[in-house]
Amino acid sequence: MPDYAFTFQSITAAQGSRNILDRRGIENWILRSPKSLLGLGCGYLIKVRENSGPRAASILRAWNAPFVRIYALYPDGRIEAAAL
Amino acid sequence: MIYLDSSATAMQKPKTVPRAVLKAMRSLASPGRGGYRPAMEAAEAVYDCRAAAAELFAAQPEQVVFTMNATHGLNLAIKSLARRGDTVVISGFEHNSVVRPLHHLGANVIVAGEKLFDPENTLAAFDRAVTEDTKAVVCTHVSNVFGYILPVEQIADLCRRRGVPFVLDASQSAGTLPVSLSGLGAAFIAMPGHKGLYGPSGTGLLLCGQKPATLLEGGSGSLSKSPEMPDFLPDLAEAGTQNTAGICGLAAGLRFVQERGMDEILRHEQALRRELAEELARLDGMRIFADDRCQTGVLSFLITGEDCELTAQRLGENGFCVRAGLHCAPLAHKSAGTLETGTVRVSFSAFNTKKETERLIRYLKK
Repeated sequence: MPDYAFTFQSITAAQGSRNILDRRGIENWILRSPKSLLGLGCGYLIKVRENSGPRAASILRAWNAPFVRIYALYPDGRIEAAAL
Repeated sequence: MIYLDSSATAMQKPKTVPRAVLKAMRSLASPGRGGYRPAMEAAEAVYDCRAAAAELFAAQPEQVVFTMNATHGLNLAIKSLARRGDTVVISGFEHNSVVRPLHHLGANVIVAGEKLFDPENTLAAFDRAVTEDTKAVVCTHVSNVFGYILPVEQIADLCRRRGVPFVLDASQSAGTLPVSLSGLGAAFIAMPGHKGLYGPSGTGLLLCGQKPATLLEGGSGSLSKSPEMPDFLPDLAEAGTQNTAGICGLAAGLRFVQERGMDEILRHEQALRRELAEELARLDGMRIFADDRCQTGVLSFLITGEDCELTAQRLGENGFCVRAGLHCAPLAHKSAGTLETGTVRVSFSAFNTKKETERLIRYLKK
């Protein structure tokens, strides 16, 4: 089962969204986004555990968090766009 | 030495401020530029300051833009809203940080409200001057020369009703008077970090109710392939490497203000100013600019027959740090009738004491 990543164009947007997840007890990490995920380059992602993905997506949407896309991060290194 | 020039900069800082600056200089890299620990910790430190400012001034963290000082923020705000020939209404108590950018733009500037310590007159003047042709209103919250508190809530309300963008210069109020981006519905609020917020010099905040134009373009750590600046805040207005150490010091200053309480700081400064004004008013040959109904902890005065700069020099030689002259606000002096004489200004901070005020009074009584 994959972990999930929500990509953001700016560190500030990622940090604001991270705080929303923190307040709801969803463990998460802010990381630099792989270059391949952002067409215009340089961005950040919030990674959450596999079982938190759907809930995190629902919360971030409810708060109008400005994430760009959601990706599934597989243990073997594959990264695929995900629909949650 | 007794420091009484906090309207220029708060020289006395909480101990936590230099500590935070030093810690940042020793351990933090560039925020929003890397994924390694010192860069990510820098990004967290910067966000902490943004969030603290957002909480204090009723904004969202992304609406808080770090600037070099209030002048930088005011230039951003004014140049986002006005073009050559546009009509802009300002108060009669504006600093050159407002007057000069507007002059440089070639804006048609209307000055509203020139009566000192008269909020009703100020409001009525804005009511007359602001029309549907007005491109922006720019108003100081507090006169840096006289400590006059302008009725900015009502002026902002008037602007909202007439659909005119409102810019607040909170240089002399941030940290002592309530300043609310959402409450005022302002287009922009500019403030320094190094005065009432007790941060280091070289720091300032621009609260953005709308997207500003860019004054600088460059690296933002985001959308790097594009030759355009990102169109989202705060990245849009923060080109180049941040003043991380200064921002960490500012965060410590904000925490000090929150812990001490703005009300308490204002009461303290007003009490010192009141005592000074009352005592000086008893002296012959002293002209005092005071009105307790609408004045912060700033007091201007003049000694009859003595050049204000000589008074300040004499005070300085005796250990009292005050500022004389026009205080970069000739418009305020023109409004108050002191353009030719200037004034001597005493401005208190949270760190001044009653004992210090009494020493100044004793010296001036000699």
